[in-house]
Amino acid sequence: MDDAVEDVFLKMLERSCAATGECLAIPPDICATINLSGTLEAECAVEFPSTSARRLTLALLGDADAHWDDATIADAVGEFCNMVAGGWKQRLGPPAWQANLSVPSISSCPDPIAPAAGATTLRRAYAFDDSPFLVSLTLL
Amino acid sequence: MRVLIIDDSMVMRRIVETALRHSGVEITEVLVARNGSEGLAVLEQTAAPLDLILCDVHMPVLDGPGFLLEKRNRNLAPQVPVVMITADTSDPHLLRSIAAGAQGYIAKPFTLEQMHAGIAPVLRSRSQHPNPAPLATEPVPATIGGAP
Repeated sequence: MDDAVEDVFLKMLERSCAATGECLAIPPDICATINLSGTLEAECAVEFPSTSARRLTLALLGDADAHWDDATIADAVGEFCNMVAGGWKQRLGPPAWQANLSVPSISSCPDPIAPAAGATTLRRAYAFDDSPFLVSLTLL
Repeated sequence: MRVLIIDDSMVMRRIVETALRHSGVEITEVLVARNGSEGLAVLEQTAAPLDLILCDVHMPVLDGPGFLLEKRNRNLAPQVPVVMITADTSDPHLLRSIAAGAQGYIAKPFTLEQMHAGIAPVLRSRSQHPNPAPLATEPVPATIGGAP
């Protein structure tokens, strides 16, 4: 997962990000989720505080003077989730890498819910430019 | 070079355009479409010929493979190469896109160099064969990124 996240930052954002633990110090405001199905049943979710989401959008699009609307920020978070999910899936090898990816589902972050019985979740907090965010991968 | 970018994500359309403009290729005009259906409309309405189409795989209304099939069925811009852009290089829809006539794909995330590497061979091939016969077999994809 670390490699998949780092890959997005190094290639698309031309900066690094660092893992900081398992929790966010700031509550997230926007979440994106992608489901994997078929040869692998899993879920990839990213959670961003609003400030981090804006900085991600700025990093992806440039133009420091622009004011990105909520739809654009949601789009950016969704695309980030898409690239992390795709990169993670590719690193799993066969047959898991043939799993289908859903389109990202964007929402304001719901209250944490208990994972489904038998599910295994890996959660990792990261930060780039002092902007924290969380990635979680759940094997269903 | 005149380019059509087809992607339902405005963020990705902008990222792709920026990457193109910084990848060493001279861009004179960029047209955009939000899905395959709009992409077909652009091909039908644009007077000046395009040089390259960059197309997402998964889109609402009409997806990448559907766009390619319809483009071929309607004989729209048959000489213009199409390169797919995808975060999922194992996606069966990507394989459908290649089978439907895409000349290659670029894996997301990509660097500027990878963008250039993804489109340069396609453009070079086009300059050498400006009027290629319709592809009857699966083309060799310009693979970059973590393709299996």
